[in-house]
Amino acid sequence: MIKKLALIFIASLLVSAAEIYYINSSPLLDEVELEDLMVDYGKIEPLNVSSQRNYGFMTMKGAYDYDSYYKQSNDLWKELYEKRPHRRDPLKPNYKLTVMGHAILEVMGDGILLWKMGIFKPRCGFQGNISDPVNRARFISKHAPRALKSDFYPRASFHITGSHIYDDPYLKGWGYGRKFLLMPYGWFILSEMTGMNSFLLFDDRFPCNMNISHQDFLEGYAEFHRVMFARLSFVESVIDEKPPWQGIYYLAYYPYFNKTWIVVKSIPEKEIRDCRILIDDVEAGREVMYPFIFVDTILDEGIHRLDLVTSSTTYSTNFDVDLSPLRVSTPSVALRANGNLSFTIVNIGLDNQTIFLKNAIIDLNTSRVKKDIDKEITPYHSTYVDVILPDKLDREEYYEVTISINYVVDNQVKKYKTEIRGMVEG
Amino acid sequence: MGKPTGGKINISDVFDRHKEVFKAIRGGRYSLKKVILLLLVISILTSLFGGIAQISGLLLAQSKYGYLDAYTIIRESVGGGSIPDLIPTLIIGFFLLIIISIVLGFAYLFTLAFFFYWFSRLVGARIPYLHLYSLLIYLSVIPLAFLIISTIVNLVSYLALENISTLNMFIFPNLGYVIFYIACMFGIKDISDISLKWSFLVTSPFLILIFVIIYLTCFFTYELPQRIMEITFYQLGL
Repeated sequence: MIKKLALIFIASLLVSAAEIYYINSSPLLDEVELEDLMVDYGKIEPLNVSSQRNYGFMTMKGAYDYDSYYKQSNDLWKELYEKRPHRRDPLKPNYKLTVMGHAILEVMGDGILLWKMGIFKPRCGFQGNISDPVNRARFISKHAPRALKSDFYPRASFHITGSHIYDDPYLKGWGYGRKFLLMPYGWFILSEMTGMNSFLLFDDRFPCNMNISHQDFLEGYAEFHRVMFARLSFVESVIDEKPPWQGIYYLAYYPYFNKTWIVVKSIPEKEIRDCRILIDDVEAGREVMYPFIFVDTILDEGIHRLDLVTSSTTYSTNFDVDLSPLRVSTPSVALRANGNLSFTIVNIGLDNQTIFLKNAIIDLNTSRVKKDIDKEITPYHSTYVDVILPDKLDREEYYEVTISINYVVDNQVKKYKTEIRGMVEG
Repeated sequence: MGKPTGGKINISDVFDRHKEVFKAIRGGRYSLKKVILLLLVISILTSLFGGIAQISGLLLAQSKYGYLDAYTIIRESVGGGSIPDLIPTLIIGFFLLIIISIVLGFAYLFTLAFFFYWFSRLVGARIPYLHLYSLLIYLSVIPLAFLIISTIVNLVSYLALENISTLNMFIFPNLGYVIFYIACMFGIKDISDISLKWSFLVTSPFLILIFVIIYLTCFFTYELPQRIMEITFYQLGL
């Protein structure tokens, strides 16, 4: 009996040793540095805009007590980092699930914080009556960027909503970790639509409800994004088991402030501090507040090229500056299965001129429809356009429609063209 | 035939001279008292090492992910507090565990014996119920040995390597049951007059069941977390 039990024991021991050796001989799931995951309390503390420190969103008491939240958060991410599994660990999906759960909570927490700071709505710094649509439109059009680009998500545009981003067939083949990074991208779009990013970034009358300097706010805001990207990059590399995406995550040009805001992802901080920025091959002045780069920029309408030259490589991207006074309001666009397309055209008030809309040409798939409008729009006002397209579509089908508007301003006929992507409504 | 007449079957015979064990059972040469005592011991040891295996599962989580503190989980699962406060709870829990394990041990082996009895009748064998029951109790030493050994090895590997093998933890004890049912197959053949083919038919539902359990164990261990993650992303719209 002893011999047989010993044999079973040896077999069990061999199975254990073989599996543990097999696991341990593979590399760990990581592509980021631990110190990148740690938040600098000193920098981020001024962002505490909460007058009531316990937000009460979660049942976990004190989760939104700001200081303890970030201390707990640092401890948590440190522990997650230290206990990351090997690539061959059969239980790594459990770890991925846990990391993803924490990342979702973290993103939610960060989103709540941004919401409380008023980043998603023109509250802070808004002059006049917030419910007055003209005032609101004026605020937004003044502060909104006129060019937007992302190398991370090259199909970025002003005319895409969060749900459209996630439904984009372009994402096919992306790992879950990488898709997860679209969430902060959605925030950028959302806050750009209200003009808030530029106001927070460049207007030193900020903050309206924080007793801190604009510089302190910016440093905190940059630190907030730095740690958010570092943690999401960690999650990305853990879930997708490959190095995190690196490059120009987001770029926006603000003619009102003569600035371009660049957000970089996973490019080492040292390389960014020593980088050079070339716009159309001309070196531009820049200020680095990692992961942000603020570039002094004055550009005409049209396509421009930006080169971010670091010691190891050059990240180049083209972006299209659109200075037309018209916009198709993205949330207003609706394409129904019966082929009915409706949208709202807004005069965003550049140069404060009245615009005469002649017609709109809609291209969808292979069909083209021309719709006469013949209407004037005064600044900060809009007009509604309804078009019947010949094509019948399937509900929830993904579509891309190009809208070209011929308009007259200063007795000159001009053309505004935009591409809308979305899903067919019922 | 069918009535125990007393005799001696050593536990070591199960491993070394199983033919002799089957012969002794067939001849009714076993002590009913000893069989019942053995059942009590097996039930208690199975529960005890099953409990330790659960704790080693927590150790596994601890060794893999760190943020799960095995000690805290154990402490909180019995109501929290410090170790001296927990002692009465642990004592009560221990006795409860023994009682439950004995009841479950009886229920499990009676049920199994019942099924074997009726399945063997279906194929024309007439095995006295007590013989069958004794056979199962003696052979239960095999899965118990696998469970004890794998638990000890898990503890050793955790202490030595700070890691635990999932195969050893989830699959190895089930291998004990595979061997148990195969041994039952030979045992039923030997204590009755049926062929190996018929005794295979008697035990095959349970052999299939244990392979299903092994498959489900693999699924819940290796597959389910990945599926949950995919479902979560799907639900998030990502």
